[in-house]
Amino acid sequence: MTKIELTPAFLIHRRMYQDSSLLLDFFTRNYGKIRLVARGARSNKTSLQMFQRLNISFKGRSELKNLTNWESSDQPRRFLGNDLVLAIYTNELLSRLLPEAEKHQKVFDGYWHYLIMINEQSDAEKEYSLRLFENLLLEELGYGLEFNKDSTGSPIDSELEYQFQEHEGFVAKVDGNIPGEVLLVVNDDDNDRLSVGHLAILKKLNRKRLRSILGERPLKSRELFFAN
Amino acid sequence: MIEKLNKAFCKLPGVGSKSAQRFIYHLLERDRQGGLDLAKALTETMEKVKNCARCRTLSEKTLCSICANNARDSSQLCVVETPTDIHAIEQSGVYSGNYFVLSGYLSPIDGIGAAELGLDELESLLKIEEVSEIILATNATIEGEVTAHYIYNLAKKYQIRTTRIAHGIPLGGELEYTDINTIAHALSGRKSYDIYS
Repeated sequence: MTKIELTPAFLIHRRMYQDSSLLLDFFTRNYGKIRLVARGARSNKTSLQMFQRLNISFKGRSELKNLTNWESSDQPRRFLGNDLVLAIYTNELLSRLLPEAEKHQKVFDGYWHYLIMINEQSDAEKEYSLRLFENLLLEELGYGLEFNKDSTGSPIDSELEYQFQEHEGFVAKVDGNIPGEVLLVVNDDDNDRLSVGHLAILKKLNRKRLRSILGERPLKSRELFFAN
Repeated sequence: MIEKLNKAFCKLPGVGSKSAQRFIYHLLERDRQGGLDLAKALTETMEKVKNCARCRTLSEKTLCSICANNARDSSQLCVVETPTDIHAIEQSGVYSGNYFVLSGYLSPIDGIGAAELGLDELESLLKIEEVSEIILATNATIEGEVTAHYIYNLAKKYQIRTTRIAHGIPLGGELEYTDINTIAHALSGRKSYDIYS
């Protein structure tokens, strides 16, 4: 019998389960992504909010354990409009990419930091924060990239153009679509030097990286809200 | 035969095999006529009730009684998640516009997108009808907000004004027993007191 008391977690997805219960996917700091049942929770679900750091308790013998208690350890956070879209996109990423019950504390902390940041940043900053979170998630899952070296191991040259190739990395090419300068900005984490055009390039790069991992099924939130 | 009926009853929400057995024995031993009436009513309803061609709520006729009612204000369109939401709003008696019923809410993770909810039909409705205000009455959940945001984008395309129903402290409710999210929401959505006096 597993019994865990008040462990840090974020609710990343919920769906109805039987008549009055909910099936909840949590991203916990210490146990990774887990799925729990909250019995009879449908009539009392107001304090179980997404995008809010919670402490949850759960127990059970079988694979599907029961949520026994929860409390919020965060201030109320409400996303509207585009911020909401960014936040649900991030949840879909976590839901699709995180393996069950595998601890990823850096991703957890990065996710929390990201949620706090969205509320305060400008549109361009938000977009860059999302790219950084995607980079962190990919790196923690074993798909990290070195932004300061090309596929042969030579340092990235800010004057050259590169192309991203799966399994290889950045390959210097005359007609490459990624300026070396952009890669070095990411490497130095110096977003002051990023332009709108650079952000679009990084978005394309991460989309390509994610596509190879996600497989055929596209991300639905992107389909819904990011037409381009 | 009884076993088959038992399984059929178990399809109802909240009914397990034991309750199903109670229903069956009650009908067989005490109320055969009631059982026959139930069967007849059930068959008739299942065969005849369809979705309203305009607002998609459940209706016996092609157009539901609300859509067919010319006295209602067709410039207002209230978007709800389920037919029972219409019932709830109608009972309040303060709304006299039309409705549109989605089949639930957008849930990207479950793969439920715009087409699954009938949002294409909503869009074609906006194209042909003169709607001047869309009232977003999806639930106050994250999924409901996501759905509202999507419809807002859709309405913007047709330059239709969008409003969202207010969320906050329930009438008769006490602050002390209200959860912090609702309080935060109620405070940020506060209104000038002038409108009450």
